[in-house]
Amino acid sequence: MAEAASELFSYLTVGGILFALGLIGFLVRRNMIVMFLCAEMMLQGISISLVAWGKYHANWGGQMLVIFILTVAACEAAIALALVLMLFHRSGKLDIAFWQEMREEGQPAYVDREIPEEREEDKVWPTLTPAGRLPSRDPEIDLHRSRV
Amino acid sequence: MTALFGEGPVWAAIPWNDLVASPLAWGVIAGAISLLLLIPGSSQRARTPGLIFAAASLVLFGLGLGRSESLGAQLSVWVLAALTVGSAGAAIAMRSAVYSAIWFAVSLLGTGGLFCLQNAQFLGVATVVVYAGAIVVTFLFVVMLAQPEGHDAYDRISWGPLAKPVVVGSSALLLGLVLGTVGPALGVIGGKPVAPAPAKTVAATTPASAAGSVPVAPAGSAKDSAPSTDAAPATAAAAPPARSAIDTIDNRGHMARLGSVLFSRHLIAVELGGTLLLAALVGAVAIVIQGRDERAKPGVGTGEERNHG
Repeated sequence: MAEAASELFSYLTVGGILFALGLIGFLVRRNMIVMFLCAEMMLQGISISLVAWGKYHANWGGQMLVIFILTVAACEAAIALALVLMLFHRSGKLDIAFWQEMREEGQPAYVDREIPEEREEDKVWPTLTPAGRLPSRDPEIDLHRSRV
Repeated sequence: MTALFGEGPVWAAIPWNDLVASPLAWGVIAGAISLLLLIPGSSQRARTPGLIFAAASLVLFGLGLGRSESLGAQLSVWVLAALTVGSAGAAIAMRSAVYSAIWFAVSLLGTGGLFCLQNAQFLGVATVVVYAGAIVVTFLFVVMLAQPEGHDAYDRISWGPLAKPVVVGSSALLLGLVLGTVGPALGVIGGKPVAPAPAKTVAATTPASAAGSVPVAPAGSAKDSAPSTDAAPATAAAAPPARSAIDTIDNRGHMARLGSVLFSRHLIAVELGGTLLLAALVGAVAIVIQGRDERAKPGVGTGEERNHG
């Protein structure tokens, strides 16, 4: 039995954990791009479960469904990124709470009470490792360049 | 699924004693604690206790996973599952959206590996290729949109002090219920299956509906699977699922059989998927163009627009 059922259970566990993590992230985080990634993470959990069930039942249906999940996820990514870009251009930030005026009528607005200070070790932005010699820059051109 | 779980409410089917003895339950609890400590929220804490709880929960989950037939298979499942779950947890715990995207890409690599372990090589490669492209694009969006001066305040906070405990607690409860019902039903937790296994009618019914180009299942396998459907004793979980020629999922001729199934049984769905992709493409372009028109209306010059867009 035991191999097939126990192998299935391993993958169901991993899929369930991925789904739960994606759910938590989608509900807790406020950055729109992170929320989008968390939705994709939930889809990944479902995909792992589907493939595992398909292997357990010796049926291609699971893998077929995952192929279509990939298709729909690609569509979702295209639409979602276009929407995120639009919303960012209108509000200037990726905070989903900025759009809370679309909430249901009669609901109180959510206001941030306290914003914790950023820790010192978090004030690091990822940078690219410099490769090669630094090219000489024209100060004239540098004047016109915005921050890059 | 009610046949799998039996009659009555879900929690009645859970053998609580076996569940408490299972490391999975403790893994869920440790994971919930580590997420409470690590996810950005209303208060800042030291990172070390959260990381300790995360490692403990990974170890407990590894102990609770099912056993494979060989040590190599078991090791690869452990490594890939730890990679997938650990980097997924890091993706939602990171303060910076850039690091979130990177960790999510790592998690996708683990997912692709898990697909390959399950004889789904095409899906493994497709996941890595499709999502890697999508994630690179997302990553570029983040780099372009986020402010390089520092992190934004909304990445450090959540929806008030209650949101994090409520969400993490309910998700852990949901995961525990799912594992606590599926595990005993499959006979993994507790030793004996509490419910009959799902009927193995799949292999017996599908070859009849297959297209003509698909090889017909040998009569023996259909005959073998027939008694197990109506008998369905409590030990039916012990019997391996009945297999037919078309439905055997293994490494030999994987792509050819995947393609033959995809383009025979699911041909209409393939066409619909292609149409959906086209519609999404047109929709994404339409959304962006419409936004540009509305922004151009208040009289901003077109050169200015080009710089912003």
